[in-house]
Amino acid sequence: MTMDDAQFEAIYRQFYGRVYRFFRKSGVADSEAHDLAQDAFKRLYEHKDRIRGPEPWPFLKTIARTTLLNYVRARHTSKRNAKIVEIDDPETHDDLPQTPEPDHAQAQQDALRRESLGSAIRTLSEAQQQVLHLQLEGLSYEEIAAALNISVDAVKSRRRDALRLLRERMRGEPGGFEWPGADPEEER
Amino acid sequence: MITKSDWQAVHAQLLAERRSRLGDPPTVEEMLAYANGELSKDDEERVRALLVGYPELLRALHADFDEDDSGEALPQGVVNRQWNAFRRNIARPETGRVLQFWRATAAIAAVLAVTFGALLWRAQSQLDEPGLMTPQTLYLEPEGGLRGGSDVPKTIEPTADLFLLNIPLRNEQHFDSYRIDIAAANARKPLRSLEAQRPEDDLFTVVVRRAFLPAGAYEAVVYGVDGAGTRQIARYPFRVR
Repeated sequence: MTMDDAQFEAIYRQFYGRVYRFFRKSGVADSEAHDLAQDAFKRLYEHKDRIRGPEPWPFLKTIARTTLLNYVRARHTSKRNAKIVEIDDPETHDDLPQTPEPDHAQAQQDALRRESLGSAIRTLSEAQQQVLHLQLEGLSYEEIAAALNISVDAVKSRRRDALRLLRERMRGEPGGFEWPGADPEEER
Repeated sequence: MITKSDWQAVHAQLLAERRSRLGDPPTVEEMLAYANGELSKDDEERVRALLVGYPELLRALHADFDEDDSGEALPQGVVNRQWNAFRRNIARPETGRVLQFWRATAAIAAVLAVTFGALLWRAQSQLDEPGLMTPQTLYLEPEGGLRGGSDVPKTIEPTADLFLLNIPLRNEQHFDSYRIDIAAANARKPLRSLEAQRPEDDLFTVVVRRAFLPAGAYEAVVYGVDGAGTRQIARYPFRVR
């Protein structure tokens, strides 16, 4: 049976808010979230004959997620289309704040410390690095487990091993290191 | 002492290195297959390593939906407005339906926002002849998958003598007027539209006879025109079989 436009309108009105909220919760600005929701429903409309049974929500969710992934992915792959700004355009410099004189000695110390940390992280296994990166991105254990298709216990184990190895390799660093978002129970 | 800002700086640097080493993000199909556990072991490892380098994509891949309507509801007026805009976008003559010429002319005139000078003249000359016609409506997507568009150029399978090309305008910056060029790959001179105002529903519709778009690769390019000059806004690659 082919869905008619009245049935589609009912679906649109029932689920538009949920789809819009999905984009907003994913960090998309308000007007963009409406655009993406429209795109998702346009795709649903184009494929309305593929809606199985009385419940279109599962199919619509797949379309909305695909729309979001395309949107986020495009931001990484469309740099070649970015607007080019002339660096000698005086208008682009008008509002720049005055920067204080740099402390070269401090900057050199910072660079050396970061280079040392970067080198230590590079010696970790790929699996350990992945866990550290995602935790630095603010993901919880559960989110990391879901993202990497591994168990929460595996996430904790990899993190613990990674931090132990880093501590050993950074032993010469005065003051040691402070792990952002450290779990005190595991740090001991 | 290694501080939080050190961690963040090194993290950013290592992510940049990872992206540079591993290349572009996985395709959407790969990401969905990864999330569904449908990839081979090697592919799964490759996609996982890439996704770590693009954490925004990981978040999008695992973002949750509201499974009910207990979240903050949109005002009914907003939903009405969005529905009306949506309905305008999908409203089109049914492909394949046989129309009397004056009905077809009226239908095209109703949606026509941008006209291709000489092309339109010739197309209208054809339309003015009593007869039958079957316009084919097509929707183009901006290049680069912008806002859910595809990375793959849209392919047109001609089924009619007249194309109605719908070109959605995504750029939020407003210009005094707009122009659209359509160029074949390697063509020296594009087909150039007259300048037109921005349509209320941000959807330009271009009428082109099939005879002017033989099989090949094309690109529609939208330009914004104002006192500062002409600026390219978006590109819409497509192919005609």
